Amino acid sequence: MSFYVVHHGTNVIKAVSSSLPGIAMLMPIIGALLVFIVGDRSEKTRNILAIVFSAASFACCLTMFYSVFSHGKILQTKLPLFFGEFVLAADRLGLLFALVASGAWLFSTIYAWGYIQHEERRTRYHTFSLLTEAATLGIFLASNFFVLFVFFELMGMLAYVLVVHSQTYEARKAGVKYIFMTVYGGLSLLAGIVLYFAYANEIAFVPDEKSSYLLTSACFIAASFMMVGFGIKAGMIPLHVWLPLAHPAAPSPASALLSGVMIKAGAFGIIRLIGSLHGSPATPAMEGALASSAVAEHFPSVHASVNMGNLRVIGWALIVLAAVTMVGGMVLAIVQTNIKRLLAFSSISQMGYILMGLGAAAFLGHEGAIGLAGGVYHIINHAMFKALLFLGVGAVYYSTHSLQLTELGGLWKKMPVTTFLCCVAGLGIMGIPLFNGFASKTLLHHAIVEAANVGGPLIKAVEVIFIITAGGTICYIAKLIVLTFFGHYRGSKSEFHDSLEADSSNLSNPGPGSGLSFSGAAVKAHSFNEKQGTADSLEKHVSEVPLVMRIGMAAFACGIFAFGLFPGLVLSKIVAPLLSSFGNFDSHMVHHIASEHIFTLSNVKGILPSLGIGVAFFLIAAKWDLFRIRLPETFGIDYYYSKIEIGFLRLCLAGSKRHAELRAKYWPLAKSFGQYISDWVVDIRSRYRKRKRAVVDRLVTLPLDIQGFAAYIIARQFTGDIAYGTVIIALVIALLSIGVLIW
Amino acid sequence: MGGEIKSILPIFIIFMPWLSLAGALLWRNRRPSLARFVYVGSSVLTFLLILLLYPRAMKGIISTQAILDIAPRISLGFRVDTLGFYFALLLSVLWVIASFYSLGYISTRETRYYCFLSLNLSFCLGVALSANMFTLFIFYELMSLFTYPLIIHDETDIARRAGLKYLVYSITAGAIILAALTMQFYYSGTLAFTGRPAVGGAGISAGVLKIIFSIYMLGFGVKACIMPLHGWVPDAHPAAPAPASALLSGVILKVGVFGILRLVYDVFGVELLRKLGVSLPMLYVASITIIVASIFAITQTDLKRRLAYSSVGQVSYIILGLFLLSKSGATGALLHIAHHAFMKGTLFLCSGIIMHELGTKDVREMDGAGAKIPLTMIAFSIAALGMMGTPVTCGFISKWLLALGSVEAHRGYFIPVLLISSLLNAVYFLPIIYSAFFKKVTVKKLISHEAPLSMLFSTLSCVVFVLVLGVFVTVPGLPYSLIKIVMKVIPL
Repeated sequence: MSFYVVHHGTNVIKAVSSSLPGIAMLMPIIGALLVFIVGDRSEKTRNILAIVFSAASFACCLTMFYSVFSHGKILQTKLPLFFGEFVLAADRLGLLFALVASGAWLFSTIYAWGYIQHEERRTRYHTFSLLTEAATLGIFLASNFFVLFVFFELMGMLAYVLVVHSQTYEARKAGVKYIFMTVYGGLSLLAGIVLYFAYANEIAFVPDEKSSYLLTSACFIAASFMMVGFGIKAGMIPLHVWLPLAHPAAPSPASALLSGVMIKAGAFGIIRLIGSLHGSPATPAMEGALASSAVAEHFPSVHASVNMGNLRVIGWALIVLAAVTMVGGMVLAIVQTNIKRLLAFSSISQMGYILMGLGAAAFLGHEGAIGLAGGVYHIINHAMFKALLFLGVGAVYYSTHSLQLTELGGLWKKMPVTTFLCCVAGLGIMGIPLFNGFASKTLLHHAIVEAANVGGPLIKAVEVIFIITAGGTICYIAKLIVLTFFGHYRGSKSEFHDSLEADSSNLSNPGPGSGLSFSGAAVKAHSFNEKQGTADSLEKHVSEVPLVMRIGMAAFACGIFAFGLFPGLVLSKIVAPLLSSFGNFDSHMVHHIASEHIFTLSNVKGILPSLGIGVAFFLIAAKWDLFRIRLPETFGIDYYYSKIEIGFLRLCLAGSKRHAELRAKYWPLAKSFGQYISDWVVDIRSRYRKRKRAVVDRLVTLPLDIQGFAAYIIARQFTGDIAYGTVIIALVIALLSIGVLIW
Repeated sequence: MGGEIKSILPIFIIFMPWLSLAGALLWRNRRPSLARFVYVGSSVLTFLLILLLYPRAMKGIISTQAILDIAPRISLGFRVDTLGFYFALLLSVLWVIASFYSLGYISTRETRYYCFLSLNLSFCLGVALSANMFTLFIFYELMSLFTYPLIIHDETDIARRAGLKYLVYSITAGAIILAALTMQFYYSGTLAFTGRPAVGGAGISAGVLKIIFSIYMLGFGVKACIMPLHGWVPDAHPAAPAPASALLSGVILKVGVFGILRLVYDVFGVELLRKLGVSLPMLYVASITIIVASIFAITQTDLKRRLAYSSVGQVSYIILGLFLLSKSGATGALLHIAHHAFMKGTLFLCSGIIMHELGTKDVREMDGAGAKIPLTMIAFSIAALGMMGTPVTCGFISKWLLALGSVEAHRGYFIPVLLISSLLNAVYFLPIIYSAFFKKVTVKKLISHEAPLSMLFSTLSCVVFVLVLGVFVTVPGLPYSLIKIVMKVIPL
C-alpha cells in the first residue's frame, strides 16, 4: 500500500491506494460486455444485468464516500495504461460528481427498462449507455488533465450513439451537429492541455510549484482553450448549438443523462481549471487595487498578484458568458412548444447559473468559496430535477406519443404519479423553499452579490439578470406543467397531417418518434394519433406508465426532497469538506458556509421578486399568446456556424477543383517537356552506345536512362576516384538488368 | 548499454523471405495449398527470426555484419541498431498480416504476387538493416522496382497507367538519391551509419551541406510523398489489390521516411540540422502537405483514393515530428510510423472487404454497410477514429506527443496544423462511419456477408494493434519502449 501525503490547501490529505475507483469504473464496462453478449436473446436478463452493474458502480461510489469525506483520504487506483501515469483518484470533488453520475445512471437505467421496450435496438442502447457511464465516471475520477481528457473524448464519442439512437432524420441531423461540436471541443481541449503540460511542467491539476506557469501569458491562452473545450460540453452560449438539437433527439432516459450528468462534465472541467489557476504558489491576498477593471489587469507588470489577474479575467469572462447563457436559454425555453426542446433550453439556462457560480468563485479567488458552493450545489440539484423532468416528459411521450404542448393537457387524471413527480421537479427548478433549487439559488445569489461588491456595475447587471432569469424559469416551468398536465386535453383536429408536417420540417418535434416511417413503434404511434383526437379517446388510450418507470422517477424525487429539506446537512457534510479540500479558499468563509442557515426570512424574501416576475411573465405570455412565437432562423448563432461550415467545405471543393483544372491545363506542357528531355537522352545514349537498343517503352526506360546518365556525368566530374567509377558501373548494370528482368 | 557484436542473423533475416520462391518453384502447380502455406510461413519465420534480435535491441547492442567491399570505403553490410530493429519488426508484423489476408483476397496470378510480395519484404528489411547509405540505396531501389508488379497486379489499363507513373516517379527519385549519395561520398568520404553524424565534422561548407540535404530530401520525398512529389500515391493505391495497398501505405511509404530518418540522425545529425536551419522549411512543407492532402481527401469519392490522400497527409505527420527536433516530437514521429501503419493498414484491408462483399468502392454507396458486414465496419470505424486521434486508439498517442513536441521545440504554432488536420480527418471519415451504421440499408448487393475467415481475422488482428498500441503504450516490446532506447542515443 503506497502512502504519501499531499499538501492540499490548508488540510493535509492522505493519498491511499485503493482499487475502489477502478472497480467503480470497471463495473459498467463489464456490464456493457455482458449486456452485449446476452443481447436480444433474453430481454429480462439483459435489463437486469444493466441495472445490476450500474448499481454496483453506485455502490462502489457510496463505499468510498465515507473514507473520502470523513477521513479526508484520496483513494487512488494506478493503472499501467498510456504513459504509465494513468491514475484514477477519488478526491472529494470527483467523488461527489461520480456519486451523482452513477446514481442518476442507475435510476435512469431502471426507468429505461420500461421506456425503451417500445424502441428498437435496445441492446445497443444499454451497451452504449453503460460504456458512456464508465467514461463519465472516468472523467470525474481522473487524477490529472491527461486522464480527464482521455475520458472526456471517449464520453463525447460514445454518447453520440445515444443521441442518434432513433436514427430518424432529425436524430441524425442532431447527431452530426453533436459529433462535430464534440470534435471541436476535443481539439480545443487538447491544445489547452498540451500547453498546460508544457508550461506548467505538470499534468496534475495543480501546476508545478517551481514553474512560473501562473505568471505567463501561456497560462491565459491554455485556460482559454480549455474553457472553449469544456464550455462546448457545458452548453455555454455561444457554444451551445448542439445541445437543443441533441438532447431532445435522444430517448428520454438518455436525455436525462445528457442533461443531468454529461453536460456537468463540462462544468466539472471548468472547476478543475479554476483549481489549476488557484494553484500552488500561495495566492496573494486580495488587494484594494484589484477593484479596478479586471481586463486592464490582464498583463500587469511583474507583480505578486499577477496570477490572481489571470484568474480574475477568466472569472470575469465566465460570469459575463454565464449571464448571456442564463438569459438566452431562458428566453428560448419560454418560446418552445416542444417539451423536450423546452427542457433542453432550460438546461442551457441552468448551466448559466452554474457557470455564474463558478465564475464568481474564480473572480473572487481567495474568497470565492461561496461561488463554488453554490455552483456545486446547483450541479447536484440540477442533475436531479432536470433528469426527473426529462423522465417525466418521457413518460408523457410513452403514454400519448406526443411532445407538443399544443396537443397535450389534462393528463393529471390519467397519470397522477407522473404529474405529482413532475410538479416536484418543477418546484425544485423554480427554487421554491423546501425544494432543492431554493438552497442552491440562494447560495448563487449570495455569490453574485459578493462578486458585484468587488466587480463594479457590469457584475451588478448580472445580478439583475440572475433575478429576471429566475422569474423566467418559473414562467416556462409553469407553462410546461400547466399545459401538459392541467386544463383539458386539446389534441389536434388534423393530427395526422400535423405529425407528417412535423416530420418534414426541421424545427418542430425532433422527438424520438418523429421519423414515423422508420420504426415500428412509431408507426403504431402514427395510427394511434390518427384514431384519437378528442378528449374521449384520451380516456381509452392514456394510462399511467409501468412501475419500473415510476420507480426510476420516484428515486429522483426523493433526492429532491432530501436536498431541499436538509440544506444545512448538505452544506456542512458535503459542500464544506469539498471546499476545504479545494484550492486555497479562505477557511473562515468555508466555516461560515458550513453553518449557513438557508431558511431565513431574508433568503425567502429574496425569491419574491423572481416569483413576481415569473407570474407576471406567465400571465402576459398566456394573454398575448407569446408562447408560440417563432424567432427567425437568422436569430440563432447556429445559422452562422452552419454558414461557416458549409463555406469551408465549399472552399475545399473549389480548391480541389481549381487544382484539377490547373493540372489539366499545364499537364500537356509538362508532358511535352518530358518528351523533349526523353528525346534528348535517347539521342545522347545512341551517341554513346553507338547502337540503338529496341525501346520497349520509351517512357519507362527513360528514368533508367536518366539514372545511367546521371551516374556517368557524376563519374566524369569526379574523375580520379577510380573506385567510384567501378561502383557506378556496377550499379548501372545492376539496375539495367533489373529493368530487363521485369520487362 | 550499447556496444557492437558481429552477427550473421541479419543475413538470414534478409534471405528468409526468399523461401517462398522455393515454395513457388516446387509446389506452385502440384500442391498450391502447400505453396500458399510456404508463402505465409516464410513471412512468419522472418518475423520470428527478427524477434531473436529483440534482447539485443532492448539493450541497445548493435549487431553488425559486413558482406563485401566493393571499393575502398564502399561496402555492402548490415548493422542492426534499435531503430532498424524497430522498423524491421514493424515490417514483418505487417507483412504477416497482409500475406495472411491475401490468402482470401488474391485469386489470380498468385505465384507472381506472392513471390514479389516476399522479395519486397526482403528488400524492405534490407533497407531497415543496412549499415551504410550505399546498402540502403541498393535495397531501396530494388524495393522500388519490385513493388511495380504488385501495383499492376490486376493488369487493367488503369493499373498499368498507375504502375507506369509509379515507376517513373520512383526511378527518377532513385537517380536523385544516387546523386546526393555521390556528393556525400565526395565531400565527406564516408557513407557509413555509425551513430555519429557522418558529415558533421568534415568541415564542409554550409551551402554544400544544404544542397546535399535538399537533394536527398527530393529523392526520399517521393516515397515519403511530401507534397509536390506525391503524384503517384493517389493513383497507385487504388490500383493495387487491398493487401498490397495496405503495405504500400503502411510500410513502403515509410521506407522513404526511414531514409529520411537515417539522413537526419546518422548522416547529418540533429546539431548540424539545427545549425543549418533547414528544419523550418521542412516543417512548412510538411504542414502544407498535411492540410492540402486532407482537403484533397475530402473531395474524393473513391474510398481507396480518399485513403491514399489521407496517407499523404499522415506521413507528413512523421516528417513534421522529425523536423521539430525535439524529444517528444521525435518520439511521436517514430511512434507514428507504427501507428499509422496499423491504422491505415486496417483501413485498406477493410476497404478490400468492402469492395469484395458490397461490390462498391464509392463512399456514397455505403449506407447501412454496418448491418451487412458489422465486424469489418467496426474495425474500419476504430481505425478511422484513430486517424482523428481519439483516445484509446494509437492515433491519439502520436497526436499528443507531436503536439507536445511542437511546444517543446518552441514552435507551438504547429499545434493548429495538427488540430485542423484532425478536424479534416473527421470531415472525411465520420460520414462513412455515420452512413454505415445509422442510415438505412441501400447497398447494391443484396446478399452480402462477412468476408472469408483469413481476411476478417487479419483485419481484426490489425485493429487490435490499433487499440493495444493506444492503451498499453509502455509495455516492453511495443514501439514506445523501443523508441525510448533509440532516443537515448540521439542527442535531443
